[in-house]
Amino acid sequence: MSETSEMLDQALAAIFTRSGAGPAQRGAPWPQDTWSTVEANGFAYLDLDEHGIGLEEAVRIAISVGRHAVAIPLVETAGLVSWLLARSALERPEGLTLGAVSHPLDDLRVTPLSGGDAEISGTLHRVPWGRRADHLVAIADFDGTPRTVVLPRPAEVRAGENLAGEPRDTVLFDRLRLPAAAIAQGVGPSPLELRARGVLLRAASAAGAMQRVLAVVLAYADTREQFGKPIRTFQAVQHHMVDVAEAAAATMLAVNAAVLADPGERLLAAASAGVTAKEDTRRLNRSAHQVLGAIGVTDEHELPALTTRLWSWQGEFGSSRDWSVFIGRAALNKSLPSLWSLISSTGQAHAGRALGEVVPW
Amino acid sequence: MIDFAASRLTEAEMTLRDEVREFIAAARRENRFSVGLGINAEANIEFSREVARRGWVGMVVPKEYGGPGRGAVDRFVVVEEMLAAGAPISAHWVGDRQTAQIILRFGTEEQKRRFLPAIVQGEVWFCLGMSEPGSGSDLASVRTRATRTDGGWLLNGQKVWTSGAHYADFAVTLCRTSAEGKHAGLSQLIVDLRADGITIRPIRLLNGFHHFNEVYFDDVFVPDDMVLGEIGDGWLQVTSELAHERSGPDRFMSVVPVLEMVYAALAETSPSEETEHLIGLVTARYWTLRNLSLSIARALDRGETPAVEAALVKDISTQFENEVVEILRKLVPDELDPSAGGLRSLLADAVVTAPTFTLRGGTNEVLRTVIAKHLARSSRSD
Repeated sequence: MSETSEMLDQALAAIFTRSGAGPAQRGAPWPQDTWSTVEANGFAYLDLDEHGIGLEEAVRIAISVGRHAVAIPLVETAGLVSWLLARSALERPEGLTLGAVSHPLDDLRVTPLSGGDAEISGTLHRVPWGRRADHLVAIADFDGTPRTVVLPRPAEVRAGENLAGEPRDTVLFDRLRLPAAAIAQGVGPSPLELRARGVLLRAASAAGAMQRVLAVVLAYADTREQFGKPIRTFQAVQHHMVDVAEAAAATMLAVNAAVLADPGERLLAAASAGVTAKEDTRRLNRSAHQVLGAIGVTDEHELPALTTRLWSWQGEFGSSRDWSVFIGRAALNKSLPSLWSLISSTGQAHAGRALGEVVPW
Repeated sequence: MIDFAASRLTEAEMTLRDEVREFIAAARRENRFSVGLGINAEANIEFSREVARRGWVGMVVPKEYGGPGRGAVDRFVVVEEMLAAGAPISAHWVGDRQTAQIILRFGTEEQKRRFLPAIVQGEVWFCLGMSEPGSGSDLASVRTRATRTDGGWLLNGQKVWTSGAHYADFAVTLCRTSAEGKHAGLSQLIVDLRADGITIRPIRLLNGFHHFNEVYFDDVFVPDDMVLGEIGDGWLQVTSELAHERSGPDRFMSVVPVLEMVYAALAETSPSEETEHLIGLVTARYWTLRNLSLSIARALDRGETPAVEAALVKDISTQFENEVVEILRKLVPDELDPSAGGLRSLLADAVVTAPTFTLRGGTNEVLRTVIAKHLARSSRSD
């Protein structure tokens, strides 16, 4: 872990535990104090081109958000918005700037007007905390190429939420006039690249949450007694403990390996980490709840704050199947000498192919 | 808890990988091996000698004992390429994975000078005398015993599931040398399989392969200089090599050669979305497992003994390999015919031998007990 990452990790842990922000239960009010502290400490947005701050720091933040189950859009702001703006050479406006997720149903279109301004129309789906946004960063279709745009507070918001009760809103824009300064001048990250970064950061949050689930499971199995002894002494319970530990370890390792991936391997690595997190969530949640018994399915307990987020993240930035189909389609595109050459890829071997596009992380 | 550090292959390791890939490609072109399933495939002594001539057997043996003095990751790189290609590695497997490491760590100076150069040069093959008819998971209950005699030990008993005993020269044999102490009474002897009093009988694997044997010891004389390390250290020796035995690519790559055949066939078609999904799922999971296994090799090179981590990787990997076989059956749902040759034969082998994946080298139930105990301990000490 880099020095910056370690500093981030400790600082965020201190903020999240001190402010009592997590674990956030369903229906908890917006934790303004926590968010203000995060902003005041300069963690809300990362200056990507400074001091080598990059993907690793974004991943550390995502792990911390997952571990503490805090209901704030920090992964979105620090991990996605900061990156999208920097790679699109756009200024960040004042206020709470949130990001769209390039949902497959999104249909944001830019129509150029005279003088560099443009008109923008379309719908953005499942926008995290969309209702709170002063501004929204999104990738729009500009004559067939992806163009990053900075949108004002949406006029119409249809509230939705994820399984943990976090806002996931649909926002609509209808013939909105945007000034030239709010539209990237060149082609920026593609929706695929945004979703790949998103799925990796969600995998990172999942890894953090899974580690916390493991600690909860082990503590409970150690103290809960039945038939006169701690339930951790029963082999059937031990197998559930191991399921949880394996899912947590594999997901964390996949995320850390993806951070190290060479530019040409990044899409495969992010997709693989995403598939691993999403597949392992199923196994981990089932085993964890089985160990905790009835106490784990009440909204008074910490466990559901973690498992409902894990279930939400399973679907966000694409499902496991979306990403497995993506990998499989690229792999079956006849251009590889063997499947093993892809699995053991070090990046260079696939430059220029669908999976080996150099991703600007 | 249980943590794995991610790492990349270095330039030097990738160069080694290129060399191995070239070697395998040439061996394939010249038909020097038939594709098999990892360590379940039948031995090919000539191929193992060639691998040794390239310096890829006993890679961790230092120069002073005739080896190249390379690390666990170098070995990982060689082994994963061999397994991916379905190359026959079982002849040198035991010596390479276990015996070289254990003699290096516990053997006497004389044993190091005698056996290590021979392992490296592919002149001597080892097998492991561990399991017995009454001792599987509870290995410390072995009843094969050695009693003191003039200048050495007299060995009596029976071993079973002894892979490769029919061509190996020596069996590193776990036996009881003292009735006192369940673990402290155990020792390992290096037994010359050509000695008087040894009977070796084949046990056919369920697909007809000759891999396993029964080995009977009837008053076999083992001289003192063939006691591995010290008398009474047997259990320590057996348990200390578990990190080597349990974490390697052999635990998740047995069926990769079949997967490659299916992949090559599919790439010629217009695959359905379901096919793309299954191939993508397998690729993603393998990518993660490979990084887990690489992480353990790195830890070994740092001088750590990640035994619990290795148990965890083996448990995940061997379950996954069974899933891969199920996925392959979805992709190739035809009736299988072991006599048909090619893909259908190999897939037939994979289907019927898949149950061995979660048995050999420690059953998953035993591994899970090891992991769970560690978890409970580490949770309380946090």
